[in-house]
Amino acid sequence: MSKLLMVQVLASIGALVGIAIVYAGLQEELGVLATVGFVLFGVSLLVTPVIRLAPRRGAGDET
Amino acid sequence: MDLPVTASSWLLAFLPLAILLALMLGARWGVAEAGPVAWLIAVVIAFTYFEAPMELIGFESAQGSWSAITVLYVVWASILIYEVTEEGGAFEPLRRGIARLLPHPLLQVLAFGWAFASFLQGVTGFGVPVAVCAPLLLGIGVRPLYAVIIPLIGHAWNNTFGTLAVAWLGLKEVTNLEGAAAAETALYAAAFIWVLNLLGGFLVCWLYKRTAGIREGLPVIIVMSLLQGGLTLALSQWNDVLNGFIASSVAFAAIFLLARLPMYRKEKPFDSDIFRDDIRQESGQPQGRSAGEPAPGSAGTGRPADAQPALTRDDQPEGTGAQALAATEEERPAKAKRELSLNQAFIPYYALVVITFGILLVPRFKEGLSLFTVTLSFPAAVTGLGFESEASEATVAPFVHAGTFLLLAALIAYAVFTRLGRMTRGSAGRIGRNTVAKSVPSTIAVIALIAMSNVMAGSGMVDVLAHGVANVTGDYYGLLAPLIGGLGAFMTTSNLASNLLFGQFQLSTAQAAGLSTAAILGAQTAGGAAGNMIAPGNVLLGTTTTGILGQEGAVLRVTIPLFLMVSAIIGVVVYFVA
Repeated sequence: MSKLLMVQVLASIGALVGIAIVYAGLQEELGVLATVGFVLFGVSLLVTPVIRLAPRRGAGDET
Repeated sequence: MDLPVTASSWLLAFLPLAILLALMLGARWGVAEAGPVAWLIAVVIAFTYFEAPMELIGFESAQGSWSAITVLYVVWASILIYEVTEEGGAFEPLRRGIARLLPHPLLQVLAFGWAFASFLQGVTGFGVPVAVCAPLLLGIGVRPLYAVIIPLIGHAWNNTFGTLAVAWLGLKEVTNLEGAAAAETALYAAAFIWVLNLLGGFLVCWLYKRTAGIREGLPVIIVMSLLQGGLTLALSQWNDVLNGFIASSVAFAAIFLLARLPMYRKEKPFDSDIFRDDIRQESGQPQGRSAGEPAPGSAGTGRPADAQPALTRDDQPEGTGAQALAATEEERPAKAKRELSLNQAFIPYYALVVITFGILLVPRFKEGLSLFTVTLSFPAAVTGLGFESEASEATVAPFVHAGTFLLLAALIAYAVFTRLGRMTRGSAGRIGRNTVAKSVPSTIAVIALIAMSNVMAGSGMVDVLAHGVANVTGDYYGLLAPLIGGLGAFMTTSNLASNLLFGQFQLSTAQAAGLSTAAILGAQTAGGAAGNMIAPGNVLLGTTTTGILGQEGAVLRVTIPLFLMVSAIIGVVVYFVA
């Protein structure tokens, strides 16, 4: 499994866990929990565009 | 409460979509990269300009993610069924078997990309036609980019009355349509959809070999369109739930009869550039041009310009085709066993059709399996500008979900292929790893897109977009009615969601402007159907299942012009009749 794919797997899991925390935090009116979840969700989503924008160091780095 | 619509509010509401399109079409980013950026911009604008509280943004993102999971279930299961079929070595016998039944390559493309895709849309929907037919086209040798584009175009028409008319019923429900008004609207909707259907047939043939392709395919286009579009129109006045299903089923059977026409009976070379080089070589045709060679139709090729396809090999982004697919796939051992028959190769898809029919068309099964549901509730909310969204619930019935049908079909196919000796030691692991490798990259993209749509709808941005268009166009609103429907489908990847989102708005605007509500609502749902071929979620299903994830922009460069053309034609008709 390539490093890129592993990052995407982690990002996907992070996004799903993050949004579940957001939902739980908002339903239970726990602001801190919702904030933590939202940050995790946002960071996970933004991993793919950041990888796109990051300077490429060579093809070998991706595998 | 309606939000004040100004040029700045409209432009800000449009900004996330503009960025999304610019990154995908201009910068050639994939949806997985452009989607999160567009979501972030939507969140910032919703919070700062539209004064949406963070609770609302959080709940809307959560609701969008929940919807995304139901979409992703279809994606994951579609890839699984593809991997099982591939591991079972079924694609080659499938290609050979179809070639025997339909010797003409154009008919093979039309059978999978138009007739079967429409039939699947008539039964299941939810992106299944694209997810299933794109790999099938890949299996008969079509290049990945075309394998995505063709079923996207081919199935779109059946989005309103297909899937047992769920989108149409949604429109009726949200606008309280019944009796004669419903019948008149159904007539308009079906007529507009027929336009989409006919143009879809022409475009598939044009992609195949431009005008030469249209000449070759004209009899099929006419007969298929009469059966698909015409029958849907005629039956809409008798039964507006089953008309799309019946029309697409009859047309699917008819293509095998059309193959008996003398002009389609002889085996023809695979000389269209939509086919991969190895298929063309096997068929005795020269390879597609490589970089640096003259463009097709230019001096030196010796081939007439109108015999060239719409997209040539060089138009496809790097990494497409078999190499890209192979790069994500684990090496499979060569199969030494006896080759499968056509019927055996089709087992995954027979299983899919039987399961879907068995569950959806037998009320007792459907009602029983629908009893188990998972529901998330979302509270009512109001923005600082006073835009209110009602409390809602998002319910999923997993046992009658299209993803479950695909998953069951994949499991049945695996069991049968194992019994036939097609699975070897390590097959299950390879299928699992390849499925994960192909499905994971689209996960972020689908979540970001649907979360963005929900944030835009909940904060009032969608409302501003739609009202802005209506305010500017005035009496000419009819021209843009299908575009509004298309916008809804683009954002939600669903004709049903588009009708629910904009149905009432279109009705109110038509009444306020003194236009025919039947024509405007017909244009709404037809535009929503057409919008499915440009919906990034649908495009993603195709690019993921064919191994060309990241090249959604290349697909949209073909489907967006067709969408605009269909919308313009419907818009002009609506303008004159409404």
